[in-house]
Amino acid sequence: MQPSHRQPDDAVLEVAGLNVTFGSAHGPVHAVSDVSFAIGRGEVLGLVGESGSGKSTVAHAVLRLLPPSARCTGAVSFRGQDVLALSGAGLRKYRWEGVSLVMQGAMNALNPVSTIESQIVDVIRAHRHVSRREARASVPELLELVSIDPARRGSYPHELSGGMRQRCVIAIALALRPDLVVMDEPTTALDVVVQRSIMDEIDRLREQLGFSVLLISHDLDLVAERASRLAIMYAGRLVETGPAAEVVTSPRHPYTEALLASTLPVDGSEDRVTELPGRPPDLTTPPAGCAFFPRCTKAQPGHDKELPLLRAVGPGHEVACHLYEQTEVVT
Amino acid sequence: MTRPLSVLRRFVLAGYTRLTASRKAVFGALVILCLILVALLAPLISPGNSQAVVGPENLPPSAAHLLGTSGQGNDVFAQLVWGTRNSLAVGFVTGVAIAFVGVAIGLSAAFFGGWIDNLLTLLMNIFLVIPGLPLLVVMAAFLPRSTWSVIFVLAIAGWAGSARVIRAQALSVVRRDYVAAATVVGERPLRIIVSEVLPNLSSLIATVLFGAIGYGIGALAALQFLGLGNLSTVSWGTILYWAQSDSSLLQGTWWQFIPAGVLLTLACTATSMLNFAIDEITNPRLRTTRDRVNFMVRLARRRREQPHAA
Amino acid sequence: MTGAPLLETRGLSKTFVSRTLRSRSSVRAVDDVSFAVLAGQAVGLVGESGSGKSTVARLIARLERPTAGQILLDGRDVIAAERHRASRAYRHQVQMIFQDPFSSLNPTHTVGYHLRRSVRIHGTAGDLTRDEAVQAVLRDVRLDSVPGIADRYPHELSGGQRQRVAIARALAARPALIVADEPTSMLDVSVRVGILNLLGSLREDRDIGLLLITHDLGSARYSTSHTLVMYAGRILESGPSSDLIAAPQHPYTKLLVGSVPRRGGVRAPVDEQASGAGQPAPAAGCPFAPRCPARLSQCDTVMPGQTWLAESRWVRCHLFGPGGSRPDPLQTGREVAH
Repeated sequence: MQPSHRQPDDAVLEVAGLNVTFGSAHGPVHAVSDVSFAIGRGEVLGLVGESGSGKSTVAHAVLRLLPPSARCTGAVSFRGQDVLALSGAGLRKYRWEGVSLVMQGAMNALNPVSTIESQIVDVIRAHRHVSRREARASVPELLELVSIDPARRGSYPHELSGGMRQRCVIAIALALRPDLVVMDEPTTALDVVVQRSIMDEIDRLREQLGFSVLLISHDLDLVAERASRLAIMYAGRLVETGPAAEVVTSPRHPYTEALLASTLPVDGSEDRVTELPGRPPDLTTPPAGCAFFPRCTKAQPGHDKELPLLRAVGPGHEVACHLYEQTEVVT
Repeated sequence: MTRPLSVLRRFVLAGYTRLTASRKAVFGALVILCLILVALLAPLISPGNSQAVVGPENLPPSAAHLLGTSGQGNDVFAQLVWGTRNSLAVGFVTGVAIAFVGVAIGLSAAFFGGWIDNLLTLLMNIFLVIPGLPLLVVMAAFLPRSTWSVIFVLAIAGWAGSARVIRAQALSVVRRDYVAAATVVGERPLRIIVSEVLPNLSSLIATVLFGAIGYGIGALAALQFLGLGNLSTVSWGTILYWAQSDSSLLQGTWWQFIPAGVLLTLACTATSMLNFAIDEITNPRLRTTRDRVNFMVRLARRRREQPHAA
Repeated sequence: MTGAPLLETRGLSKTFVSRTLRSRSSVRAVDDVSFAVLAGQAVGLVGESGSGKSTVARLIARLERPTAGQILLDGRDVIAAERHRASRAYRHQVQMIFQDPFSSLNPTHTVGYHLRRSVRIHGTAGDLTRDEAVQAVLRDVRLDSVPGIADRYPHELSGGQRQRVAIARALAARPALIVADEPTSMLDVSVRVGILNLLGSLREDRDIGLLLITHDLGSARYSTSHTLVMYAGRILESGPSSDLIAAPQHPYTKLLVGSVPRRGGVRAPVDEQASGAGQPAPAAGCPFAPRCPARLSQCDTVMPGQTWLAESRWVRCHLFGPGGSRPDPLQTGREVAH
């Protein structure tokens, strides 16, 4: 499939027609189908979806972290380089110097028997030929960058709070000054207060260092606050993309509407809250038509027969829904 | 609507398919089954008294005596066949006893915690620290020479390892939410131990059982070889004892000890294989690609044959 | 005892002690917590992780023994009456739903087994057979449309379905109070409302009290009529849910409410100092003092008492005065005589 019509000249990452299929005992699982997007320099793209939507798989595909049983087709290019064709030294350089990853639950994945200083040094020395002393010299600066007192460099992960551990993980992700940082649910296990300070920190760092962010989360409000553009995923496909403010205030796809309507607000507008019954489809046998059809309140007969394509409904705003058939297909 | 029985059948089918797909499991199971058959059919395979003197000593294998004669003039083949009974039976009983004691003590320590756990762990550690073979030797030397005291001695020396393993895993199971949920629903502690915790340890218990059986067979032979077992019985271990006391190695009469050694090795290897196979079934990371392919192919084939059961 | 609330805690405290050969450290997970839940009322207990709210849940579900304080069910002091183990009668009245829908169901048992046990233990089948009773409770949680659900194992169900099974299990005991410890935090966003709606409708239909433990203010606002805010083992503010969240008084509550992502993008600025976390609570004085932007000198040494702001609305903060009246769990604003 063609990539999104929006192709900024300074695109850091371009994904076109990405498909990822996993093998399983029940047959192939189509985790990601025909996903395309681009991230510009210094931009934050928010990828939103629930469990099973394929958003984490996209993150892993971008970093070439899929397991051997996964089949990946499509195009992923980082500054013009074909990522899926990289290997050896090129792949090592791409990972962490080009793109780095803050994984889901990363703060619990820090090595418990190693100080945070040595974990940062390990990352640096894995990618660059520097001596241990040189690597250690860059640790205080990195810790200050994420607002951790450099005096705590000798601490072990269990001696730090959840928020501080997450900052360490972010420091590790930024150790080699990548151009793009993929963050998969960076604040899910954290409390709302710490969550906010971490996200503020990321914003500040982004302004300071100029990297782009692929922010993946199931929390639409959190992402909408920080991202300039949103991409909503359902059952492995993109269903809506567009400017964050617009998608959130005037969503087009019924799933986006349902997602927005099922978040419980703090400010009293709960008359909009509605339930979304049912479950996402089984991805071993993806439906022929719209995957959201069984749960859609605006469904019409025939929507389940044919797959809806991404169509523009506004500048930079696209929806994959049969209700918007009148507009042009995105080329 | 699926009935419980078909759910069970599905489960057993998957388990059986998994087991038969693993070459280790098939090998282990076949060997053990053959040995059990030999033990059961001993009167048919080799009728008569295996301890009777049937001819001159130290005869090499021949048509009349398939494995020759021992230093006392007994038919070695007959002894081997009849000896399978004692070796396997004592081995199984010891294994079951150790598994039972290990599970009871390990579970109790994990579930009750506190001073009970401290006491039982202390007990486990004492028995683990005491060297096994010397303990076996000392105890066997004091107790009357009977099969039951041998079983007792083996169990005493071997229970602690199983108990510790069970306790470790049970500790993690006991902390799961479903155990707390069972308490809140109102289940009694004993019921929780048996119905909630135990089923989640079933694969570990199976592993422990097979390990203990292997230990039982091997340690029994060791005891008997040292002359500490019941010397009036015929067993692989006693065969080796008599071979040693008759200086078979020096005399070069290999048929008096090598066959017994081979059977012993086979039996212990078979139990280990079953042990590993069960580990693999329960711990997916240990599975090899070939086993996996085998399993998937067979399961698909079986499902096609019985579509309504899948 | 007529007029007594369904559940009441008075000065509930739990201290965890960890002893090693060399040192001994204690953590006051719950400190002097007093509140009440009326029959059919939904009360929310809001706090971050480490605030002690889950420990409160476990204390009320009698999975832990309190170090001090009382738990009264229908006016009867439960801890004094059943010191070592909760009676079956208590278990019949008070049930619990856990946070992780997968680990709260035994993977080796079917859905039907879980529900049958609950029915059997408390004898709630009545005129029906046990299987009919199981079907009835599955209907109540709207799982009866899933074919063969009673014979399924937990791993065959989605997170939302498993949580409904957990609710069904609690319901099968016909309790008077359900303690829900973060029942939706591990579920997908689109599934959460369904579960909260289910709890709400069950509460209304059967007059079951609900104690909802959560870190999500939105859930507390949606599902409960009264909310308590907890921090480092203490309750710092209490009041009607919508009022408390719309106009928080305690600096900590303000921080919580201000940190929630807003759709409109409009946000009150959050004080920098308050965001720095990770320090353990001080031994004396208000536990929030180290992070508080409005800290006064007495905050470090004296724990503020209750200050009533309105009927059923109080706050523990020196900014509102030293307080000091004994906490009234009924939240009615009256002084409690003692």
